[in-house]
Amino acid sequence: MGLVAGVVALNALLAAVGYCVLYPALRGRSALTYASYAGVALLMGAGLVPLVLSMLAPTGLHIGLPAFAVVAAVLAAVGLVAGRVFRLDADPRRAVPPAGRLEDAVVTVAAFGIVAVLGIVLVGGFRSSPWLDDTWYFWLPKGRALDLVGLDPRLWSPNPHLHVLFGNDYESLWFIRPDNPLWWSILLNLDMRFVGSIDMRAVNGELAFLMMGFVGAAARLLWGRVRLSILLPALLVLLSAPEFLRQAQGGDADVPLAIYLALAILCAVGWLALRSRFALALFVVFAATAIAVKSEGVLELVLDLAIVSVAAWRARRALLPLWGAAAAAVATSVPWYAWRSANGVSNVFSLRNALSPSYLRQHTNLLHGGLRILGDHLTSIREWSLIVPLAIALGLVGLVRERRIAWLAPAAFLGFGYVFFVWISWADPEGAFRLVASAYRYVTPPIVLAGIFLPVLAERLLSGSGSGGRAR
Amino acid sequence: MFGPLPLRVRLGLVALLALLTVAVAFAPGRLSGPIRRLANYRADTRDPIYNAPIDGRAIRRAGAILPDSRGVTYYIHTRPVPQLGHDLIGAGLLFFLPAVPVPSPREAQWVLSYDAPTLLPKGVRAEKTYRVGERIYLIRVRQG
Repeated sequence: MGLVAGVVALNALLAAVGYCVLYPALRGRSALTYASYAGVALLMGAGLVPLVLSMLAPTGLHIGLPAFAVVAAVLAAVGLVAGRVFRLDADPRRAVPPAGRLEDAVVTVAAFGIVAVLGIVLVGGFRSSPWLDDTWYFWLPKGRALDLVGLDPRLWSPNPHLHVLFGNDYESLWFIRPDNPLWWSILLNLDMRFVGSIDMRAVNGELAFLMMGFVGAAARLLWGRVRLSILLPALLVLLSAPEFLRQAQGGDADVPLAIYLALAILCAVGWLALRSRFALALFVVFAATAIAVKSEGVLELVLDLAIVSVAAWRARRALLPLWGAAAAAVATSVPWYAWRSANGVSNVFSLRNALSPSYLRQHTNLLHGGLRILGDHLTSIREWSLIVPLAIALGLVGLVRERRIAWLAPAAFLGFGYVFFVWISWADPEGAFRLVASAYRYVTPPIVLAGIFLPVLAERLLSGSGSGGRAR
Repeated sequence: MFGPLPLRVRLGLVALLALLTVAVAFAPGRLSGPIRRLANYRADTRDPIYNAPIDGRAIRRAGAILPDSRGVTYYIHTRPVPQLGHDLIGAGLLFFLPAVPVPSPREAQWVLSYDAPTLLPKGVRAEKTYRVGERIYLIRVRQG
C-alpha cells in the first residue's frame, strides 16, 4: 500500500473495530457523538486486536494478516452483537462554552496548539525512522518472527550456545529482552504488512496515531467534566513536553505503555468517582493492553491501582469491582506468562535479588546512581516541562485546602514510580547499563500518568474556589 | 461549544497563530529547532538508523535472495568490531527471517560476508556467491 496509505488503512481498521466494540455504549447516538469517540475507538481497537493476537501466539499460530483479519472480524462481531443484547452508558457530556472572551481566546489558542503539535507529530512521524535501535533490533523482528515462524523458542529462549564473538564483545543470536510481551511487536509487524515492506518510518507513523488517539481519548473522557479553558491548555502542556515528543519518534514501547497506563488509571478513577460501568469496561481494555506492552506494565499498574485505592478509601465498596477488573486484565496475559515459564524465559528483573538484603547491600552504588539519574530525569523541566511541578503544586494546594489525601495521588504516582524504578534498577545485575541507557524512558509512564490528572486537579481546585463550578 | 468570541475575531486569532507557527518553523537558528526536529526537515530513509555504517540496500538485497524457509540458516562473517556485529545481527533478524542465524559457519547454509578480511570463514566452501554491495556478499556454502 505504501507508507502513509498502509499506516492510515491499518489505523482506520483498528478504529473501526474499536467503534464496533464501543457499540453497546454508543448505539443510537448522533454522528457527532460517534466522531468525538474516535480517539477512544482507535485506542480500543489498537489495544484489543494485538492483545488477542498475543494471547493466541503461544498456540504456535502465525500472527500475520490472516490472523489479524479473523481476530478483527470476530471482535467487531462480538461488539455489534453485544450492543444488541445489553447497553452501557457512555454518558457523553457536552462542554459548557467558555463564559468570557478571554476564556474563549484561551480555549482557541490551546485548541490550535494541540492541532498544530499533533499535525507536526504526524508529518514528522512519517518522515523519521526511530532513533532508538531497540525498535529494529528486537521489537519489530519479534513481530516478523511471530508472523513468519511463529513463537519459536529458538529465538526467545536464552541459549549460551547461541553467542557470537565480535572483537571483544559477545552478542546473542536470540532476541534480547525476551521477557517483554508481544503487543508492540505484533502491532509494528501489522504496520509493515499494510505498508507492504519494511519501512521503519511506519513505526513513528504508528506512534503519531497513538498520540493522536491518546489526546482525543483523554479529551473525550474529560469533556464536560473539566471546563475547556482548563482541559485544553492542560492537555497541551502534557502533549508538548519535549521528551514526550522526542520519545514519540524513538520507536520504543514506553510511549504506548504510558498512554495505556494513564488512560487505564483515569478510567479507574472514573469508575470510583462516577460509578461509570463504561469507565470500568474501558479500564479493563486499557489495563490489559498496558500489561501486554512491556514487562513492567503489570507492576506499574498494580502500584498505581494501590495508590488509587488508598486515595479513594472512602469509596472502598467500589474497589472490589475495580480489582476484579484488574484481575481480568492480568488474566489476558496468562497465556504469555505460561509460555514464558514453560520455555525458561525469565524476567530480567529478579525478584530474588530485589528482596535479598545481602544482594542489595553489595550493590549500593546502583542505589546512589538510580536515585540521582532517575531523579534528574523526573525533575527535568527541560525534558518534561511543567508536568511534575504542576502535579505536585496543585496536589499540595488541594491537600491544604480540603485535607483529603486523594489530592496527592498524582504526586504519589510520581514518587512511588520513582522509588519503584530505583528499586528494580538496584536489584538488576545490569542496572548500571540500564540506568544509563534507559532511565529517561523509565520515568515516562509515571509522568504521563500524573500529567493526565492535571486538568482534573485544576478543575477541582477552581470549582471548589467558587470562581467557576460549572463542570463537575 | 463556541463561546462569546465573535467568529471574525476567532478566525483572526487562528490566522495569527498559523502565521506565527509558520514563521517559527522557517525562522533561522535555534528558534525553529523544536519544530525542525519534530517535523524532521531532512527526512530519513525507510532503513533503520544503524549505529555502525551498514549498507541498508545490500542487507535488503541479501534478504531478498535468502530462501523464504524457516529451515534456512546463515552465519555473519565480518570484521571483529562489536558495534558492526551487533548491528548486522539486528539487521539479519529484521530482514532475513524466517532464516535463522547460527553461531558457527559449520552450522550455516549461507554466509553473509560483510566487509570481512576473508571472503569466507574457515571450514566452509562457496557454492554460489552473490555480490550484494561493496565488499558485501551473500554466499551459499557447503561444509569443507
